[in-house]
Amino acid sequence: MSSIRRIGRRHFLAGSAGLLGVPFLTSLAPRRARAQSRPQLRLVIMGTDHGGVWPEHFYPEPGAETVVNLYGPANSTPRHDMRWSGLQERIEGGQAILSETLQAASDVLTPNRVQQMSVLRGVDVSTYLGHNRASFSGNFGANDQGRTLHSLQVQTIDQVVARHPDFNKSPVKERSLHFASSYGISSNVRHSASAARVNGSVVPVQATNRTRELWSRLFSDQGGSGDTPVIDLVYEQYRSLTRGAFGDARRLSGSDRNRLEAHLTLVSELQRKLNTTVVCDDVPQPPDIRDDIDALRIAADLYVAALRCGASNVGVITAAGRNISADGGWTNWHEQIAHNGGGNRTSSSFNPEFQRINYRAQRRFFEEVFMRIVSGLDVEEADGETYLDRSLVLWSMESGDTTHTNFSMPIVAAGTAAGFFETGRYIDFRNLENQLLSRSQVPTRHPGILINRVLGNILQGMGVPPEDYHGELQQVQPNEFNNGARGYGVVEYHRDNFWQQYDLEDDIWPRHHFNDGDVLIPGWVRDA
Amino acid sequence: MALLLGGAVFVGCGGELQAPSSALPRIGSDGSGPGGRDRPDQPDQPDRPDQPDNPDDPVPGVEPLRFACNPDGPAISQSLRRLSRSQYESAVRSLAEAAVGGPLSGGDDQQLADAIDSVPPDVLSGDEDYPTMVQAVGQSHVDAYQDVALAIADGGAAAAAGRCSGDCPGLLRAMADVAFRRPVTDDEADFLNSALSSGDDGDDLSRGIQLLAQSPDFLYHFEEGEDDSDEVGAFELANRLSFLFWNAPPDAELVQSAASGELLTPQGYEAQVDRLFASARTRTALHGFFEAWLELEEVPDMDENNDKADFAAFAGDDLPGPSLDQEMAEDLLAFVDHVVWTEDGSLADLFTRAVAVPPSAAMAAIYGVEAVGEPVELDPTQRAGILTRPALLAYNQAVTRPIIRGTLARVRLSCADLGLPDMMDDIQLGNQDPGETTRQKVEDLTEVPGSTCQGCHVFINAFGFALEQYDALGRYRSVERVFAEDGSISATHPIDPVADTPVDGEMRRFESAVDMSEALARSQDVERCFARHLFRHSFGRKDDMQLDGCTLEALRNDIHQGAPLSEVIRSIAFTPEFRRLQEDYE
Repeated sequence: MSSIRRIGRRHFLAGSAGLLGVPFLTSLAPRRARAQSRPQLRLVIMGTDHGGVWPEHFYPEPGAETVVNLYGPANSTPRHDMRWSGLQERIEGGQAILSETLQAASDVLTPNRVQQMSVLRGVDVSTYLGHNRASFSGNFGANDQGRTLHSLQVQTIDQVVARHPDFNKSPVKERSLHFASSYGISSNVRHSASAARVNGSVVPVQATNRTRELWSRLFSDQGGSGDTPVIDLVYEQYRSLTRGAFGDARRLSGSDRNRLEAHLTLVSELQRKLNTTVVCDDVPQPPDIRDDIDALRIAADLYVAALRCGASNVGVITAAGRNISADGGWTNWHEQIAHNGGGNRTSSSFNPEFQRINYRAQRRFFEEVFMRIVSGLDVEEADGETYLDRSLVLWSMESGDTTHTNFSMPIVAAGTAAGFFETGRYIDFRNLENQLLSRSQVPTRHPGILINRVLGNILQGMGVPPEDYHGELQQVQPNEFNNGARGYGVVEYHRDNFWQQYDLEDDIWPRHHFNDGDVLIPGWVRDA
Repeated sequence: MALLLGGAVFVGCGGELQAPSSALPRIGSDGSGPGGRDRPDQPDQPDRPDQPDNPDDPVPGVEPLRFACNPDGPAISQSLRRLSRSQYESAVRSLAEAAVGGPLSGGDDQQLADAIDSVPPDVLSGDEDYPTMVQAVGQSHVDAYQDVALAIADGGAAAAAGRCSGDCPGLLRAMADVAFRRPVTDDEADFLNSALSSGDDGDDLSRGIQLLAQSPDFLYHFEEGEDDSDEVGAFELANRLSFLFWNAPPDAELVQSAASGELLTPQGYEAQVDRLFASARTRTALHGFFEAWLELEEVPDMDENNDKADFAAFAGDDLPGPSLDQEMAEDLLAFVDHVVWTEDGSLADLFTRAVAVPPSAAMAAIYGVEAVGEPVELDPTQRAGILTRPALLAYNQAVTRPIIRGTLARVRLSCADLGLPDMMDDIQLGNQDPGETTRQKVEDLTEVPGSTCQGCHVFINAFGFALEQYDALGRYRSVERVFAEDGSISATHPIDPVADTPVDGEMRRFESAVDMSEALARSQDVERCFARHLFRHSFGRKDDMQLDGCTLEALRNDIHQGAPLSEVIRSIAFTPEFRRLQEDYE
């Protein structure tokens, strides 16, 4: 039985400032100076499709719990109790086990590493997920719905971090790394999981699915290509064209000019990379493989090498279920596994074997990709701190507690980001008092915290102050921002018919969930 | 509304149709109406709703497509387009051949292919169901363009230097003419010459080639017109023509025609159109259009489940080989080629002809014929056109996917905008009861009277039900065999292909897949939809049913009149829009 201890929150005023209309961001200003004094941080984000791993197969059993009100002192309103307990692995047959999914060999998932991890439960997306590529990294518009959400594209948090002027303490070879296996509906290399804002437009950041290409970008020519004179000319060519050179005949529309300006920005980045020298240990050229677990393992190793030598400080990996499956290929993972094993457990057609195949695939990813990166970073960097100590390594999925649903996106984090985040905890944000979602097939479903706030906290943990990431929301939804919405991600409630049986805005995620989007999360952020 | 794609749970679109809900077919309180009937107890004795009393009464459905032609309307404003990936690949090879002074060696060609592999694939616009290439250029494009530029230079600089004969600037300018697909100006040539500064011809030309291969004029379709004309200039017209038919830069003869001004004369233009169109390159390039239109990349890996007992038992002697998915796609393209180019067939013929050109013995076996690589007439009561081809029917399990098949017919081929479904988590692929047919399982799940699912699926399922006459390998059948996991047959059911659904706003009953195909062959929605797909392919942009209405209507009219499809495609080169310059210049 859990022992429950209720505590209040120290930052009530900050948390309620949005409700009161009082600007509180100025109070965060000192944090910026502090962020600039922090060591080089690193961010790795991983996503797998399709989700639908049932909670009892993903989350650990809670231990003795600490309970706080997420939105104020214990007895204040709004009332939303959340809780955390210590992460504790058990050892069986050489496996260290947190749950059916979260387990690995005991020499990989060591007690020390467990204490450097957190498992988050009850992180919700307020809107349509369907098939999405980047809801876990903030771009809800990258999905298959079309129409409304597509017009609300924002750059993903990996790009906000990678392009933030204070983030890289020294020049990097690549601002961010992107690797994907290619067969997933959502993790398809054709459908990038990342997006960047280039000259005002949000454009996909394409991943590679080839290990050799990833290696080549990072390690084939560490001293620079020596071709900078050419790229300088290429740059000059675009710049001159946009400024009317090459004769009066070059007539450009405004939109043409914008497109070329965007291209010019990208050439400038290429120019920067070619002029950057990063010395890494010799990283041997890997075999050129793609789209299976071996390719993902190699990518993980290359990421670790790059993160440790400073060739890059941000990485994203996405993987398809069929590529990480431990039980055969399952070409049609979506239909065969994700739905028949990740949906309604009360249906007569439900096949528990498919749920097992699903979580075994996710377990394989956890052990062979996520933990491979965590282990690779668990090496002393300086001053008694490891690379992992100064990193945040995240893993989430396309869907929440069942396939296509937006409740309880599973999140595992490792590293404290230089002391910003608490670790060694299983943190549950669900408001157990709210029973509106407790339908029969998902009896443990309750509204939790919105991912907008989690992403805002991650950005702050990476040294990006709120005023530096607010621009996305201001640009895409100025009215919502003016109405107090904060955090990272757009403000959009699920509009499909099915969800109309709920009053999402009043009963599930009241507006203060959005308005408190910048407020640090108790239990997960040390200063909260 | 539930839209179950291949057994997946896609639920929604009820009330979210583009057409007002009042326009949807009425479902009777007794469950009658399209898709609303109760499932009969005996599957071989279906209890069907009556046809509408008066066949002249239009049956509401999805909103029909309408083109509005205003010849005096404004030109559409179009931003600078980049070359598609396939166009880029063609342009790269042209430049590489210009650098080496002839065809590429096998090694150079492979090196180029490896470099091009790093160029991101084109992504289709995600905001609708019709393919339109996303024009955005990302960092990975620019990085890859540089890799390819280096590969071209690696393979071609030394050869080019050997041909300099003391005039490397002249050679670079000649290569620039190829790269820019027009004669470069003196200002541009002067700029390009700034790459020639090391004193070593090989190094100089390497830099020059790299510069060309990353130039905006190489990577984008610049069109500026000449003087104050609202039409494209001669070289721009040559480019449009060449990319239209060959998906590649113009060849020397077309360039010469542009340079001489001949291309701007009616006779000269028609002669070049005829020359390009008659080339085998046109057929090959148009495969790209048909592949995109019919989504041939969606053909699954057919041998994926060969090791599963139920699939192996289902496939029997037709157990897929490793390339069957490709053979299926080739089979469909061979059918299209035969109808369009050999028979001068119309769009309707693509939906009705019972001929096949099986590319392999495996495909011949699926059709139940022996001929391979040559046209063979099929039983016209069993096969009719594209929808009855294995490539569009195939699935690598022992069961069919009526909703996927139906969605292809309704959304892809008829351009119905049903929206996307809600994503509910509590509905799954229908039950595994062997006592029910696949059709019954789909009906159970998506056609429950009064359900939100029903609203969309009444427009989809009927096509899939008619196509139940083909199994998951595309073999014609009259009986559905239900396989247990161990490969044994747990049940057999007669196929019930009869289904009702609105076509062009009128309720239709399909007696069979052939009957359905004939209905679609006469459908004006299908004609208009094809016109839109062809427009987007030809003009490299999304169509606008108002601003592009004249062109779309002209295409639709030719299609409706039964013109040979080859003529419809050729006619695009003679539409006013084809020469029209975009507006919005500063």
